[in-house]
Amino acid sequence: MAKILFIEDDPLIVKIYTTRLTADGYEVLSADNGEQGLKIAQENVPNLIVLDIMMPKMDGFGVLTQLKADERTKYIPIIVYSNLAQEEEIARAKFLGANEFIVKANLSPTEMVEKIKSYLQNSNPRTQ
Amino acid sequence: MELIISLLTIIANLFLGISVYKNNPKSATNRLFFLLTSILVTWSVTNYISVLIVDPETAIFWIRIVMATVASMFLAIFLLAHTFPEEKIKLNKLSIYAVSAWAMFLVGISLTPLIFSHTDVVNGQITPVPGPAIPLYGLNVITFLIASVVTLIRKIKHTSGSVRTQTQFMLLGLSITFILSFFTTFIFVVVLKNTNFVIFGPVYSLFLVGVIAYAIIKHRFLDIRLVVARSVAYTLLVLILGIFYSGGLIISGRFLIRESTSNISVIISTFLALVIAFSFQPLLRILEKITDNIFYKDTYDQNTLLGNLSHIMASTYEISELSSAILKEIIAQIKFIYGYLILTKNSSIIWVKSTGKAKHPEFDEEEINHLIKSASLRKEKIIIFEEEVESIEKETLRKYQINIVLPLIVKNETIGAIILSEKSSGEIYSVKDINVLEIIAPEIAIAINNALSYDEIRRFNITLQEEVDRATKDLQNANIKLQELDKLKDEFVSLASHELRTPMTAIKGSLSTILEGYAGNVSDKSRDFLTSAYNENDRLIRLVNNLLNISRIEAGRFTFNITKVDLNAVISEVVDNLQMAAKEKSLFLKYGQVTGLPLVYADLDKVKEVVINLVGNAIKFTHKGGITVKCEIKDGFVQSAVTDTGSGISKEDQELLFKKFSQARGGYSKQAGGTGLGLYISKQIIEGQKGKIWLESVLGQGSTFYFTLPVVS
Repeated sequence: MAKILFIEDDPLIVKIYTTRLTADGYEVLSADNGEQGLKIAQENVPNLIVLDIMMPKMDGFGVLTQLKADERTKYIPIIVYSNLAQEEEIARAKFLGANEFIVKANLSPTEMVEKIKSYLQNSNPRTQ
Repeated sequence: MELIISLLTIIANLFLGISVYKNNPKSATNRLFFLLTSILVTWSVTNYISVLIVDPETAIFWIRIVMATVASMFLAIFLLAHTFPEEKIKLNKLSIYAVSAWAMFLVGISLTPLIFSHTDVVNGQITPVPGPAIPLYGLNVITFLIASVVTLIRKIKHTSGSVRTQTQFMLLGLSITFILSFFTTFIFVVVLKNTNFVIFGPVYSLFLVGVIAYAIIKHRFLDIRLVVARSVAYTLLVLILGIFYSGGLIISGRFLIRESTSNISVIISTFLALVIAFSFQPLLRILEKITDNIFYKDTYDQNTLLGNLSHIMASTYEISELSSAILKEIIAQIKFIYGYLILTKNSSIIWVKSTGKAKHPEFDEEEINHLIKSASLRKEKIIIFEEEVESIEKETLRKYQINIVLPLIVKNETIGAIILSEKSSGEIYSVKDINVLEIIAPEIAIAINNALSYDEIRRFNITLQEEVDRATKDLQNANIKLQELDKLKDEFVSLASHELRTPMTAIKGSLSTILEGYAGNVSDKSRDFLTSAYNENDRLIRLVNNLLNISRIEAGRFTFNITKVDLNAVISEVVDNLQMAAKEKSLFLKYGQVTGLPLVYADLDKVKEVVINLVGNAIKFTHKGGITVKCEIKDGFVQSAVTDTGSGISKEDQELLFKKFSQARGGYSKQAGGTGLGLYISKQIIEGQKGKIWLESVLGQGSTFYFTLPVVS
């Protein structure tokens, strides 16, 4: 079963996706701050990480940098999922190694779930 | 003959004496001069009478009178030599009394037989016989004379300028007069016993009084050196020839005359005369050369001066250095006492450079300006003190002891002047000096003007550099502040939009989760309301996105990340994503894909935004039929068209459509809702990528929105 890690401090978002993805048969892990998220990612090596940016303790950019610096988590696809939408922020996230930058408000949960599923099908052959 | 000579002498003396006296009656020099001429007149009169008298007894009386007059004359000469050309007698009273008493004593003695005891008649001529005191008399005369000469020479040594020149004049007159008098009244009378020339005695005095009068009244017109040099040369010439001729005659007389006939003496005389005739010119030239060498020791070569000046002017650009060097060079050649280089601008003195033994120049700006202006307006472009008639200018010249004003003129504009004192030798500026000054003035003017321009440019550069530095610093500071402000604004916009989106995301997620049945069944009625809420929330999200875009456009920070974009893929994706929305309104949404559509240069995300906007609008504003998207290649551009079967847009609305916060006013905009920013932003995006965006619409038949993007070549 594919594991999806949500590093996200908004419990409502986590709840919505946990509901949907669990219903579709995925295992959803979650962390409500950067540090914890990094730790879980390193311990569990999920198939996909959905990463918020504005978070307590360590922001998404920090987590991203660390994930990409760690051999264990280096290859995990990362969708940055944030309501920040400045070009500089998008560019920075992509530069640090994010696969995609999704502005939360612009996609409906359905569209987001589609996106997540497409990543799990295409980009991580090791878990298929 | 004697009468005419005497009369002329008397008249000339009287005239000179009275003119000089009238010229300045208060001056001791002028008074003494008048005294001297009076004595000379007396001398002429008595002398004439003494020569004329035939009776020996009466003659001796008049001869004694003449001797007394001459004795008093030397007193006058001595006093004049001592005072000349000052206005006050400098000798102390005791000395004056002593000298006067001694002279009076001589005058007294002259009237006694001690000088001339009686007269003899020699060859029918009355000849006075010298008495025992005649050597004493002669000695005294010579003493007075020597004292006068020494006084004058000392004065020449210790003075400079005009005083010196005047004194030189007097010495010259004195020398000529007494050398001539010595011959005629002493050598001839005492040695040769010939009184034929005695009558000329007073005439010679005309040299003295003439020269002195000239020196007092108009003292600087003549180059005295030339006069002296030539006089000396001619005197020597006459002496040499005289000695040679008389020597020749005496020698020939001694050795040849005894056995000679008059023929031989004629031959000898002729021979001597020939020798004299042929040697006259070469001898004169040699003498002139010698005297010139002696008298013109400090003469200069004008070519050297011009050459040196050219060198200075070509190698020096710095104004201070240049003016100093020019003045120094001129003073080295034309030796004046002091000189100034004055620069003026708009009637004020901006620069004074001095050289020589300069007193500190406290020039009155107005006076000096007037002087320079006056000089520059003249045809000859120079003021020379000696040639100036009495005027304000001459007053100023006298006040500052200026002899030459040489204006510096560049292109009819006077930039200043070179001002020179009198020459250290006291001579007047010669024609050569003036010529040289007139030649160098324009060159100096140009050089000075260039130096001024150079100076101005240099100073301007410095000022400019300072200004630029200051402005740069200001700009840097302003820029730092702006950058800080910009950063703050960015952070604010970023955070604000983030904070606005977060609750909207939560609403969107929740509503969508409910609507899709993850939270249990939803009644149809609830679904309607929830869908409305969902759509309004989406509208709010678009508004925030658009505001963010607008703020970037306004800030000029709307940047494009241009890459090669496959427009087919972009449009297909958008059309796929929006199929659902179209279906909900029972509209068709078709994309007529073209195979082999070339790539375009564009910013992928932004183009996608435009396509979403245009197709989204079309869905929103269409109620029947559907939307067709097409692409074609036109003139190096891919032209995309989004055609709907909506109600169409009126002409006046078409113009408003691409403006900020404007929507078509027709009722049909209200029902669909929108931010009024979408098309404005789309226009910015397309035009920012060198494309065009426009629409064609017929009311009641629908609209087509076009946009173009450049094909990858």
